Amino acid sequence: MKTTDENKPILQIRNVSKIYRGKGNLFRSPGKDVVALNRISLDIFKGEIFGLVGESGSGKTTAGRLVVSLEETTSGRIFMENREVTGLKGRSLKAFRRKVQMIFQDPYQSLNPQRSVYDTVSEPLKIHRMGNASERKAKVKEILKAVGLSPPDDFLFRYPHRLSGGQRQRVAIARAMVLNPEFVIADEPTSMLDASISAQIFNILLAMRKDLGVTQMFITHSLAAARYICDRIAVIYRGNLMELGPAEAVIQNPRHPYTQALIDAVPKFGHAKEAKLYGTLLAKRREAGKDKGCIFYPVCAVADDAICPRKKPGLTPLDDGRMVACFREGSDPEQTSFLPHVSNKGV
Amino acid sequence: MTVRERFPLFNSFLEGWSIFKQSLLGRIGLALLVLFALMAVCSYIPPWIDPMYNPMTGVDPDITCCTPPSLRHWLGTDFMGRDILSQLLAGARVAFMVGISAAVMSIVIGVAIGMTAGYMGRFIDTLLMRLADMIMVMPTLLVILILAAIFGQLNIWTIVLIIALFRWPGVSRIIRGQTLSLKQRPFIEAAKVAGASHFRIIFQHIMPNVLPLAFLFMTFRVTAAIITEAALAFLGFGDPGTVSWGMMLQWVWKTGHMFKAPYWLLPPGMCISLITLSFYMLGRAMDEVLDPRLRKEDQTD
Repeated sequence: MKTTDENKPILQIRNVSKIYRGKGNLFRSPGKDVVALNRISLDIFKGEIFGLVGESGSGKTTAGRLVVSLEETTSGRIFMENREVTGLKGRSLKAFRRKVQMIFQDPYQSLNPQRSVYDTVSEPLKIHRMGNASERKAKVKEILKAVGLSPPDDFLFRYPHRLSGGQRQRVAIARAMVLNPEFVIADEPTSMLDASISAQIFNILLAMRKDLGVTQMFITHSLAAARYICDRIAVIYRGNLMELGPAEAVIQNPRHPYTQALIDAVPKFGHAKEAKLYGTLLAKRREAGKDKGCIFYPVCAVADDAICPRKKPGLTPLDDGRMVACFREGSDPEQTSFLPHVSNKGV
Repeated sequence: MTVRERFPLFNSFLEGWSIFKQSLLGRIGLALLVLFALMAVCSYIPPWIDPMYNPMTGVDPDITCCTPPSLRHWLGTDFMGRDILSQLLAGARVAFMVGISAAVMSIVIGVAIGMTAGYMGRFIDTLLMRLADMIMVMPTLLVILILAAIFGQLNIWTIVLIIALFRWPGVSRIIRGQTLSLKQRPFIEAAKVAGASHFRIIFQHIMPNVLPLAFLFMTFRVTAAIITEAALAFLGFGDPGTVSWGMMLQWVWKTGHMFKAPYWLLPPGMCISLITLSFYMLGRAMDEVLDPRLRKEDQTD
């Protein structure tokens, strides 16, 4: 971990759940509740880039949206620099938003088509009443240069429809960075962009961390991206944390069968399908256990039928400084009666 | 940095114009509209030449009955010797006045209510939309007739106001729908994350995106307002102090010249038809500008 100050968690997520309730009415019975996040706890330290990796629908975007207060948690608390941010309102919410910003997934949707680059990037400054008109303009130019849109004068009064996808995402990054936030959530910022542009975006994010010391939560489905950019990653499956640890270690030597399955799923150039490293994914879904069982059990090829369908493994630290939720790795069953193990400071 | 890059509205106007002028409907509509606008402007000329050309009060001292077109009165005179051409010109002015002011008012009300309902949602949405439903099903003409019967002769501005008050629900429904879909777009969330207030989101982010649609609806509302005013005047409930085309038709009807003096009957009738047609064509062409799916293949976007 390059610049991580391990003693200072900037963001603490404690036991956070998000459940989308199925809506019912007089004539229709309520649909099923969807558990997007199931009692997630993690710490993010100052100056690090923390990756949240998972497949589509695993709840990783929901986690990001909860952190920036775009949605409310169903239960659990989120702390930013030791101050609770769940349920903030009015002025304190506005103050919080000055510190925490988000980069959205789709640059084609996240920029208002009716507003120029200057309008978009300077808006946060206007909202938070920072500087006068000329100072704002100077700041916008500076940040546009920093995200690689130079000369900035060429871009200031352009409209989104006259920008490429990569340029749009740079504008979105500029908008997030213009307030000098302490924490930025990047929600799959490159999923709509092609590979070479993605690499440039990653480098911008890395430069932001280096130059401005911005802590980042990087949400992605791509292990390659996570390995390239992140210091630590958390692997999330259907709203549950599966494995958490230093990016390099987790990807090189995954300990949880789901992480292993993710690595297997990465297409390898020149190798046929059979060249699976781990083979932990079951071809055919098996009968799920009771609600209490491991969430990965139905598709886990290495499950222990004695315990996996009955108890849920808790996130337990391993000797090499990572945390895994799997009985095979010696996890303890999760204690549901009292607060589960939350600290991951040993990482 | 060019002017086009600097001013977004001007820029999108130019882009819209390049599409608009490819549409035959739009060109015909605009030509007709320019013609009527010229008529409205010219309405000040005849009374200035001679007081007898005053559309309301000017009477030709030599004429006491309805006369066909002549050199002195190009379109003839009405039953008391008033010049029909100057009445027609004054009618154009009134039509624009009534049409545009009623349309602008109903659009302003409709956009405000539609955006509020769409953005606030829940209870306020239900309340405002049920109100809109109730007003939408009321027959405007009938209500105005009843009001006129109760309060006597209505002033032209009162009529404009009533038309506006009864014509906003259609607009607000459309604007509400648009707001609902805009509200879900990520750029609104991005603005929220930046710390924008509801006020800012509504006026800086949603409004610029619904205004083009509102302008489109304005052209259709103009048509509706002009027709309503004409119908009201023809039925004898118009403003007696104003010369509108509907008023002229009423005079033709009341004095029994319906089938005797086509030179009196036809001009106002045709003008009403053509001005509504021109606004309608304009609206259709603007529809094409705003909705890329309506454009022909070879048109650029």
